[in-house]
Formats: sequence, C-alpha cells, structure tokens
Amino acid sequence: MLQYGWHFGVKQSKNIAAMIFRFINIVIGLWLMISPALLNFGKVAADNGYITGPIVISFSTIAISECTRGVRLWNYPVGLWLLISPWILNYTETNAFWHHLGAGLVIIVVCSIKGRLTKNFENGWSSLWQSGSMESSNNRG
Amino acid sequence: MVRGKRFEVEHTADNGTIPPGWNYNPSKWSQRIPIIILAVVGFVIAGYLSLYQFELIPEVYEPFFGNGSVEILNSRISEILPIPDAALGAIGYLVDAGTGVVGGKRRWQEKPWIVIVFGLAVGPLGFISVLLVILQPVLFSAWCTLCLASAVISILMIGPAMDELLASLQYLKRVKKSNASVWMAFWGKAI
Repeated sequence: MLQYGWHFGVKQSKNIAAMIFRFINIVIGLWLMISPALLNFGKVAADNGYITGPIVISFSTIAISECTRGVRLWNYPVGLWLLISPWILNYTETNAFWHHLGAGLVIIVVCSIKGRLTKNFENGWSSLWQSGSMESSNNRG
Repeated sequence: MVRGKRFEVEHTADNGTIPPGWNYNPSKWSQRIPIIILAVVGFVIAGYLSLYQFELIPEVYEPFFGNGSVEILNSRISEILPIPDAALGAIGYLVDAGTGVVGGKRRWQEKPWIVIVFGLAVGPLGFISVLLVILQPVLFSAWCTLCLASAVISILMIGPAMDELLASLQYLKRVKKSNASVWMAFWGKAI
C-alpha cells in the first residue's frame, strides 16, 4: 500500500513536471502576444510576436496530452525562427531584439523536454505508418 | 455483401473496451465528457457572437479591449464566407459535441466513422481559431475577448480528442492487416 502510494506520488510528480514544461512555453507564447503593447514594439516585431505567440501556445497546449506529446516538437521551427528573425526582419528596437531571441531560446530548450509518459498507445502515431509495429506496447506519445 | 473476411471481435483488456497495447480506454465517458462540456461552452460563446453578426442583438460583450470585438466581428474576414465566421464556429462546436456524445465506451472499435468525424471536426476547428487569433492584431490591430475564449476552448479540445482517433485508426489498420474489409469496419459492421 505504502509502496503503491509512493509509486503513485512519483508518477504524479513526474506528470506535473512534464506539464510545467508545457506551461512554460504557454507563458512564453502569451508574453510574445502581450509584450508588443506593453513594451511599444514596432509594427514588424509586434506582428512577429502576434503570429508566433498563438502558434507556440497552441502546440504547447496540445502537447499537454500524452497522446499528442510529440506536437511539442513542432515548436522547434517557431523557436528557431524567433532566434533568427531579429536579423532577417531587421529589428530596430533593442527591446524586441532581445525579447524574441530569449523567447526562441527558451522555447527550443523547453520543447526538447518530453517528460514521462504513463499511458500506453501501442507505439503511438508512428504505428499507423510503420509495418509490424502494433504488437508491442511501448508508449510513444 | 461483405468483401473479404470478417474481422473477429478483439479480446482486449477490461472486457474488450481497452484497445490492444493500451492501458486505458480512450472512449470511456470520463475521457469524453470534459471534451463535450468544452464543445457546449464553445457553442454558447460562438452562438452568442453569431447572434451579433446576424444583427439579432445590438451589442456584444467586451470587457477588456474597448471597441475591439465590434471591429473584429464586423471585419472583412468575418464576411468572407456565405455565413458569418462565428456561426460557422458554432456549427463546428455543435458537430464536436454531437459526435462526442454518439456511441458507447467501445466506439473506437464499434463506430470508427464517428470517432474519425469527431477527430476531424475538433482538429481543423482549432487551427482555424488560431488563424483568426493571429489575424485579429495583425490585420485589424484589435482583439476580441470572446473570440479569444472560443479559440482557447477549441485548442484545449484537440489533445484529449486525439487519443480516441488514434485508437480507431490503429483498429482499422489491424483490420486491414487481417485482410478483412476496412470499409465495413469503418462503418462498424465488421464486428
């Protein structure tokens, strides 16, 4: 009973830890959306935040579910874009430059962390296009 | 007429309700009811916004962004389709709620068609909502609180709905592998 309780506790805390990483990126996405108004970014930098923010929030929210945990990786290109876009879009504000650079870095690092999966999905989505992969029960979200 | 051989009932855990290789049933009510509740809330919000777009109510509730909701709901984007975008959203939520309710706790196997319609209704609705959220500030420099709330709801529904879709698609793949009729299995007639 005690052992079960301990295991349950560890499982739950690892689930919560995984969820916290998704929430970090959701907060970053929210910040990308509200920071242009708070910090008076120019039109180009503001639009970049308005476009990338909702995308990061969406992918991170969808990735909270274990079955769609892999969607967190869709934030890689968005994070990468935020890292290079200040140069490509030729930001004039230092504020926006550093904010988007920092946001891109955090998004990439955080979305790399998968977190523990407690549910089994018979090899997950990859089982649909891999032949002979539906007999084992490894969980791949 | 049944093409190919029939696919036998899968003997899986928990009296056949848990898909093979899984450790829970994605079709059980405790999994589906939260999504159905979200869809109903989304329908109420989108329905309210569409009442304004159909000019059945004179004002729309906007607690944070001043004239933002009025600007967004009367924008050219909202008039691209034959019916207002909020009404389309309300229809989408209604389809989500309806397809979420139909079927029992083995519907991933007994009614794959409804699970697939459910998944297809939930996914694209969410992505269209995100697109509209992006367009609000970029094209109109305005925000609409209830439109944002609707978008949040549609995104929250995607993750929890996808596991059931995966279970049904895996089931159809097993049917195909056994050379039974996928078409019949899709309509729930192979078991």
